[in-house]
Amino acid sequence: MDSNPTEKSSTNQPDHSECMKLLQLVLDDEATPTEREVFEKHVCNCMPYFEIYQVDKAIKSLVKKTCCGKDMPTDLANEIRAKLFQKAD
Amino acid sequence: MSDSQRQNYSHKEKQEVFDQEFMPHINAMYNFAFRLTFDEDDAKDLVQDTYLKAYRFINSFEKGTNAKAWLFRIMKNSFINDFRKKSKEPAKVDYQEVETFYNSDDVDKAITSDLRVEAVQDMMGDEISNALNSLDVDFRTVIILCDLEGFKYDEMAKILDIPIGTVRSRLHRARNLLKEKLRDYANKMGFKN
Repeated sequence: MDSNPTEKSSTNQPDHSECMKLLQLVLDDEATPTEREVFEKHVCNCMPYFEIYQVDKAIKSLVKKTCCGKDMPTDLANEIRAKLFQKAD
Repeated sequence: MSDSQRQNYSHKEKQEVFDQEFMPHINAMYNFAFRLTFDEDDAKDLVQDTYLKAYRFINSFEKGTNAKAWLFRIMKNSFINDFRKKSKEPAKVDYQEVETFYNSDDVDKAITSDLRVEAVQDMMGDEISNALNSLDVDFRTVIILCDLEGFKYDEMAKILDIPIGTVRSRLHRARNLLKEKLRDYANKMGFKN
């Protein structure tokens, strides 16, 4: 069946569109072990995809590193608690 | 949640759930709110609104389940229903294009991506942050949920009320748009393609 990534890979013919789907699954740690294996086999022999994967990984890690730290106003948590519990406390 | 699944917390239990399960996520909630609204006061209002709603509907929350995903879902809905309406023009996303993306020529175009890993690694936080902020809110949101907050696809599907297939295609499209922005920065920085 065409949709089986392992069968495609066994022909040694690169299926870029299948690999594109797998790339994201691998990047987000959502791939099954079989999908990961197919992807890794593909990128070993496919320089453009190897580079795309490295770029995507670098962007993901930079987004995580640089976009997380918006400082919350110090009084916000207390304000919320006060609104909810002040009367009852 | 059906009536039989609804919790019946006492006032003390409600307070415990609120403090132990909801409040630990307040920093992530504020960050998400700010990334949605780009305004500190609006972000503060959105967080407050989300927590007040979370408390109001606390009997629909089952202790020990994914409180963070539950809160993000409430915030996303609050933003769409209350905050997004305030903007002049709601974000428009061509979902037909998104859905058919994997089968389009863009896949082949992506293979020839000319953004280099060295260029990305040399970027400053501001460039990444500005590029993310410049995306339409629906694309921005999937990147925030996945890359910043580490939600799995099935959790994102529940938060956003969309099928997992749409999460995947929207994320894929969002990342390509982000890369386009970063490629522009890379070119300005003088990296040769």
